[in-house]
Amino acid sequence: MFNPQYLLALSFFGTLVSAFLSLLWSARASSRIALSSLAFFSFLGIVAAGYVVFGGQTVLSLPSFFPPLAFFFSTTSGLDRLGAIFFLLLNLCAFFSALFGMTYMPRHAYLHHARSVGFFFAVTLFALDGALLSTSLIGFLFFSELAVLSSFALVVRDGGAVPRSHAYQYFVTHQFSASALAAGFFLLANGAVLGSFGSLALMEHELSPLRLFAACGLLFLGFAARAGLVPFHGWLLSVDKDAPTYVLPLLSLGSTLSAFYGVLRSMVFLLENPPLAIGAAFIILGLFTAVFGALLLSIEEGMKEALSYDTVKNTGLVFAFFGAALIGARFSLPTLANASLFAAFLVFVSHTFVKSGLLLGSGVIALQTRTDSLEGMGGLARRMPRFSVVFGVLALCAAALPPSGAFLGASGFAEGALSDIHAVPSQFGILLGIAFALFFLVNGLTFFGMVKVFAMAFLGRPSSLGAENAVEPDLGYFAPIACLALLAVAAGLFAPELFSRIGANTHFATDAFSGPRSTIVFLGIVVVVVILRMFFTSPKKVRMQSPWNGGEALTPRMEYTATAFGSPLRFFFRFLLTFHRRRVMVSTPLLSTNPWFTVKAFRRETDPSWKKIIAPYLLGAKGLFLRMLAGLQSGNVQTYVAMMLLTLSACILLAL
Amino acid sequence: MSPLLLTVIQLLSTALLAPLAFGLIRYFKARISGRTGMNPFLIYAQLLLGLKKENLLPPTSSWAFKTAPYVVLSSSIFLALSLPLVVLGGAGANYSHFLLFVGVLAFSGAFHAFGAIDAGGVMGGMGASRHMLIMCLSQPTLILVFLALAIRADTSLIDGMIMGAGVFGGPSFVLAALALMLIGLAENDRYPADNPETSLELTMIREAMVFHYSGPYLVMMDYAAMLKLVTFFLLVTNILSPFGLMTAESGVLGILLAALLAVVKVLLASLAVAIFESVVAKMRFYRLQEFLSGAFFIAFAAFALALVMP
Repeated sequence: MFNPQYLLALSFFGTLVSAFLSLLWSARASSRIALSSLAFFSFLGIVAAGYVVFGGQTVLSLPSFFPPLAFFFSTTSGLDRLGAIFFLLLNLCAFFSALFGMTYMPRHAYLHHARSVGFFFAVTLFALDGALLSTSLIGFLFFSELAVLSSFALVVRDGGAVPRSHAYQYFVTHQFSASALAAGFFLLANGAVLGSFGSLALMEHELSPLRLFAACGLLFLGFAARAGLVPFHGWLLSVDKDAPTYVLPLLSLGSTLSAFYGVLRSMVFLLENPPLAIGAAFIILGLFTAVFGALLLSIEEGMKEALSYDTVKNTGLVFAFFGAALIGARFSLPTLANASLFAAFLVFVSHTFVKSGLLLGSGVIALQTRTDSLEGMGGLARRMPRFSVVFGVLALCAAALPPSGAFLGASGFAEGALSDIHAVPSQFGILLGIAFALFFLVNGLTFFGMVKVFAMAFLGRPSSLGAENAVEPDLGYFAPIACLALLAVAAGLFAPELFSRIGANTHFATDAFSGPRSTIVFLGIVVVVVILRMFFTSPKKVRMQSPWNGGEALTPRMEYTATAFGSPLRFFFRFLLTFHRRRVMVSTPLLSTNPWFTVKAFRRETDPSWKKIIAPYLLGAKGLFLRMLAGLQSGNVQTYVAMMLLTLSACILLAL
Repeated sequence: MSPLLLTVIQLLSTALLAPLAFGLIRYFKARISGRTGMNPFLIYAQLLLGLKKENLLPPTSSWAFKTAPYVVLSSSIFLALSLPLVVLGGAGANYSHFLLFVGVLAFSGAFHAFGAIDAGGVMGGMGASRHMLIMCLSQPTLILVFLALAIRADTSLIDGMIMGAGVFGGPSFVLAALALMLIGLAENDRYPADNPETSLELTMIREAMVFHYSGPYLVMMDYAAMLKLVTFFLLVTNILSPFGLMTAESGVLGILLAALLAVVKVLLASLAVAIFESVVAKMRFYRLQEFLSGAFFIAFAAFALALVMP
């Protein structure tokens, strides 16, 4: 008889089997076999998690046939609905990545260490699954660490010197995160880290407020670093840039999803009386990250960089919503708390599909055009119309346009906050208004950025030979991305149902919720478009004609570039971008004897932002000190008088 | 009268008034500057003439160029159907959620930009970039305007917000209407954000975006812009004075009165825009942030007032 417990176990341990399968044969054969088996086992995981999410059973534990694992997996609990939703998302992401990889890897085995990539990819999935399945704190920490190590090994083994330095950045950030989480759990659990997440709730009332604050603060830092909040976002950008295309979704989203799960499991759903300052920290850092991510998404010229900043932005939004949920819980505003959770949930469910699809799509584009820069693309919609429609759908979903999940999240949050706004003190209401404005500014910037990414890559004239010769991708590449686009649209339709499955209250969304309406409106617009096409399209009245350009032939160089497209934003937000790492032109003389003939290249500034902020003050202080020293040495009377006055003031202050 | 019929009447009346608003602005501006001015009704003939012409497609264009006019026009039609412009409580009232309004505006803007860039010309990208920037910066202001109204009316449907609105409803309504007016000017590519009558590439926004369109496609783009402008006109005037709107209880006289009042509102709004455009200079694009920030702070003041003076 069908037993979902065995299905879950088969899926979980099967990923480990796929890891070892990838080491057995030659690169091409092993990648094909290992990825097929990984797709199969992740599909089993999807079925098992779907059984918990949509079926009658609320908890699904692993069969207790392997005693050593009891240390990590207690028999009393297992994959509940919250865990099952994350398990479902991860395995969906891995399933489509593996399908994509089955076409990608055999063709590009010469570019990568196919066997080790396959091995570490499967181990990463195993570890991420393990972190969700494990109900004990130590299990969560152990599997998270295993996921970090395997991801680190994946990038280090595959890349050259630059990816290696990025991998170390990833490693260091995640070690910081692991330390903070371990310390936070230790404090919150009162030393009993072998206990389960549920035991934390019992401990909360026994802790002093200071200790609770310290524990929550450490957990916040740990999860912020794991999710990639500013200033811990550097690893996210490097990983997205350096890893092979098909592993990107899991690498980029695995850590982020695991962080969201951790926050929900250990703080939002658990703490009855969370410290107010922690909620505020979630909101402030979350919104700052979201604005920063959205702004850089809008001005970046590299497609993968732009997509990485989209993740940074969404991470920030989700954390801000978590913060609003914590504050709602603290002030006993259940509608605000629920609406915030609803918005967070919709944003990350939608983002999982959208980002996976866009990352795989960007890989396809990079393969065709041989560049990651938007400046070298253009005109792809004419060369690959089918693929451009799918990519366009994903980009518009990422831009939070109706009826995407992100749009519904925003609507739900607005509804919930509006219904509770009279119950909150007016000062807090005004702060909520500022948060609203920032939230919609982020949405506006994302809209700008995503339209730019799609338009510059797909529309207009081809800007490179690769773009000119691009062809529709094979079905092996196209089908996973198309399925992810469908899931991204469906996420908006079914996410409210998923949300209610985790036992959350969705009453705020029943009366005036615009979810189904936005779908109807969207369908209505499509119907009107079809009707208008019937009226206005006549093939006899269409003629091909080159655009007029004052007698000059149009070339791609005359078109607006991605850099130019984003330049007004760069100007308007220049005060925020002061601390961003810029591209600088480096001129190197060809001959040491002749400085006039140079090779010019652009590179990113490597100095960290904090150095730019602090260094001028340090240099200024050093200069002042040296000037005073020189004044003393040269017998300058004013300096002596100034020194005496300073000493006198210091004495008076000390005496007082 | 059935709500569906009321909505059809609203759509027809706004559809008929839309070109007139454009024609009136041109006419008033000409009169203010001492010229005779074109007959405001001539614009109907221009549109009909455009429909008979050929669609010229740039050789590099794709599906985006051909789809954009349809999507832009459909979005404008949706706005004319759902918002309380001439009718209160019509069949589309349930779809007048303020976030849907903003979302549909953005959806339309995205396709407008796609069409502009896909032509592969020099102008399209420039216009699209500027238009997208205005849209993205005006979104928070639009949301705050409607949040202020939503707090007062206790509903997130614009239809419900209009019911309790009015210049005597409180300062938050006046400020919200003022902010909406400023954002409406920027969204509809009017002064001081854009000069709709220029053909200088340094100052163009909307004209640059439709530069490579011709024939029926251009008519659709232009008509969509007219419909959007008249939608904003009626929305702002209804927030300030929701007097005389049709409801399900209105008789034939009520319908006639509502239609007549809609014409008067469009006439007054066109005159106001014409005067405004005649006395202010177009702002440098890089100074637009000041204008948009001003609108944002007015909207925020409306929001704060709605919160502290419910």
